[in-house]
Amino acid sequence: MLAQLRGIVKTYGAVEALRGVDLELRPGEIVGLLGPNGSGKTTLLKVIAGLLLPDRGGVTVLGGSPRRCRGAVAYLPELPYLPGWMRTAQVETLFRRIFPGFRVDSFRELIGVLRVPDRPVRGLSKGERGRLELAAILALNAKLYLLDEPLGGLDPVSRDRILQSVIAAWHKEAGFVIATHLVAEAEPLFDRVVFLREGKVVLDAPAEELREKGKSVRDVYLEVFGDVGLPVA
Amino acid sequence: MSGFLWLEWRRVRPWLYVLAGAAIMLPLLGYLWPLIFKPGHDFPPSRPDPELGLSIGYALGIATLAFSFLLRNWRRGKLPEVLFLSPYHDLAGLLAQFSLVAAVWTFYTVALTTWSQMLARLWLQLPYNPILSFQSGLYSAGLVFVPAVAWLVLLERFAWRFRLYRLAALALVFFLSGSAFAAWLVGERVGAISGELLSPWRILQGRWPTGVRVMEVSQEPLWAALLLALVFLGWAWAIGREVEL
Repeated sequence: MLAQLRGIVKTYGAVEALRGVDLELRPGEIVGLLGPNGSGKTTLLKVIAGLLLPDRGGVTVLGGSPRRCRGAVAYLPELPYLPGWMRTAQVETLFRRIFPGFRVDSFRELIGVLRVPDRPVRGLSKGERGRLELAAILALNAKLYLLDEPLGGLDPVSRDRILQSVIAAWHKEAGFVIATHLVAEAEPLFDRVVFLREGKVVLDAPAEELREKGKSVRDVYLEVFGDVGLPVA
Repeated sequence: MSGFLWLEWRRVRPWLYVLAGAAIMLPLLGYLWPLIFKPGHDFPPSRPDPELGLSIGYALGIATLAFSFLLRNWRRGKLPEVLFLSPYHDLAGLLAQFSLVAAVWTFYTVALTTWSQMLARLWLQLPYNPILSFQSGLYSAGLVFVPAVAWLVLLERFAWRFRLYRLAALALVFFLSGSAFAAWLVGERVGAISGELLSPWRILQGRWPTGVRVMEVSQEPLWAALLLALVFLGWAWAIGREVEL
């Protein structure tokens, strides 16, 4: 088991972001974490990563506290994280020095596949920047990869390249959790989908099981969240 | 550690350039001073102020707010979230943040002392004057700046932990009163510690209106201040482990 969450509650003042979430993450699985805006996806990823402490409930990552498992978890934030002055080569240097086991070869390969030029980040397009940031995260020698909206705001070509790079980075010892609104694009990746609504898990099922019932993940998403009235790609 | 040092350098280097530039310029000005002013012109040295502790308290309060704004800007980026997952983040990040600024301040005060020597017409006599410069600079940096920087690092972690940037009023009050207390602790109580366990150091000291003179000081206050800085850093480290991002 990579991670186990039991009864996680997290509040921000009067707002309950997570209301008793139970979840298990296993090696080799790519889990789609789906839900409308404000459903608690980012908060849940941060709790798993140890960036946020839950108010109630228990989280274990690789059998221990998330904060004792740093280095085993890689987290891609939803918003850009690299400073504008940093160049691709400097990103490599920084990650190599700060994260033990950073896979330089993988990073360079991903940069090549994702076609990221060696320019300061501020000179990159939004797609190139997103791809560079993802490449650095995927090249970390982690067991659990938490990707928050890796496809957000990108053109179809960039989205496709990012999905390909996730497939390339997959291995059976590692687990992936991908939070996204773009259900249709990411659907082929998912082994399992978790639907989050108002801080609660409303569906946790293997993607194949849904497909066997003749439904796509997107169809189920529309059934569950159709009344929310939010756009689905 | 080197990665964090490099990143910290890139973050704060505009500030450090100013300090390092001033540190280089000051001895140069010291050389030029006799050419600008007539020989025999008395240079008024800085006068030890009985309200030094309070002044430093105000300065630390302002610096604290400046750090809070810096912190806010830093936190707007998401890089801290990614770096937080590095197994080295806790200690290496903290030490990089502290040691870079403390080293520049120490360099700055050593340069300032050299300048003071020149103004006092204590021209270079090897090896006496360089040792004097080094000891004087190190003494004032160790007694004042190193604990002050450690305190600011602690305050930064504190602001991070209690989300001061969201104007948590109580934390702000604690913050600023803590700065004044830390200044008093360092400026008044630690500075008053004397002892004879260690051999004294020779340093330059300003004495109004008689000018700059060499005096002997005990080493104990310096080591007490450095120990206090270590306590501040240890506390900052403990807080930093519980920071929410």
